[in-house]
Amino acid sequence: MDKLIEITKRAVEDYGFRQIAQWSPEDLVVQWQLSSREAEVLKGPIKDELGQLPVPVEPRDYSAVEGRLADIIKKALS
Amino acid sequence: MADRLKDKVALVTGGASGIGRATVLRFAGEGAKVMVADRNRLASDETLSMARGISPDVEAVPVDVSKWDQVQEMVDATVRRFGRLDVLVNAAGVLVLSPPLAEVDERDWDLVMTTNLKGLFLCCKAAIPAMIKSGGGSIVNISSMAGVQAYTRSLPYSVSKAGVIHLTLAAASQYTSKGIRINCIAPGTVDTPQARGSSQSSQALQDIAANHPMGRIGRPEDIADTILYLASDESSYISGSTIIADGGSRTVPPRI
Repeated sequence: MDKLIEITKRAVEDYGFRQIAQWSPEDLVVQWQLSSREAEVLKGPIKDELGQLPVPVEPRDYSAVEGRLADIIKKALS
Repeated sequence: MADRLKDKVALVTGGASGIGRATVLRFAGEGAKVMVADRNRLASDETLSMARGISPDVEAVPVDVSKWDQVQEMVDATVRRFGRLDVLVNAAGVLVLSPPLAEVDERDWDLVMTTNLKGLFLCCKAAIPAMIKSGGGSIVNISSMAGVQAYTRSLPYSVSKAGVIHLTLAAASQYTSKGIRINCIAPGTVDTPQARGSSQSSQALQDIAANHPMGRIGRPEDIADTILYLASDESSYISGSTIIADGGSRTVPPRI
């Protein structure tokens, strides 16, 4: 779960990384050695949420957005 | 002016957004048959819809340029649909921000190199045989000023874009004699989703524009015009070159 939260944090703050998370998630699954369940969450609800984010997410909004995504991950993996 | 690419078949990677999208639209308006190639299917569909308002001869194919089987299928699909391949624009790329070299995560290095350099290599590798069958062609690679000058916010990106410039030169030395011109463009800051995202704040791009000698950053259409020139027969005596398209930002003396 921690690895997935770290990935989403970077995807919020770095648009290039976000594009990889959205459109080549398999690369991250392999690189970060995510579990099959974590991979499902990345390619499912997290991808959907990332697609709704503005470009860029303003620094003042990082904390709120990252907290919301972390809650989605915790709920999905609990 | 129109029909500068009349009857030519063009394949544009990264065609879903930014410079790639502007190129697709420009090419469609100049009589080309265009294949939009991108891994972002949603944005590809948007580009396709926009381009078909200009010309019916536009299609889209999903591709991750770092995967050889997908790249080969991308080229095959283009030839199946339009019968030949004359122009390849390698606009697919990604900018992942990174700390200084000693702290760069090996995974980030691989992500950037895999898309920006290996991906571009694979696209050329698949396209060149098809172009030779078509009697020649033009490849336009999109590098960056980050490949000409040091770019401190992402060393992997900077190195990958320098690699694109040299791949252009080396490939041109091998294929110009076979009728394929291979050139490169190094844009400065251009108002694309990637640049907006990488700036990490709306104010940052405004600051760059305010300090630019032209008082603005580049538009995707500025670069698409340069790509059109290199893709068309108007540049028939140019191969192995890199055109800097930064609006003169490199001419600003450093503040010492």
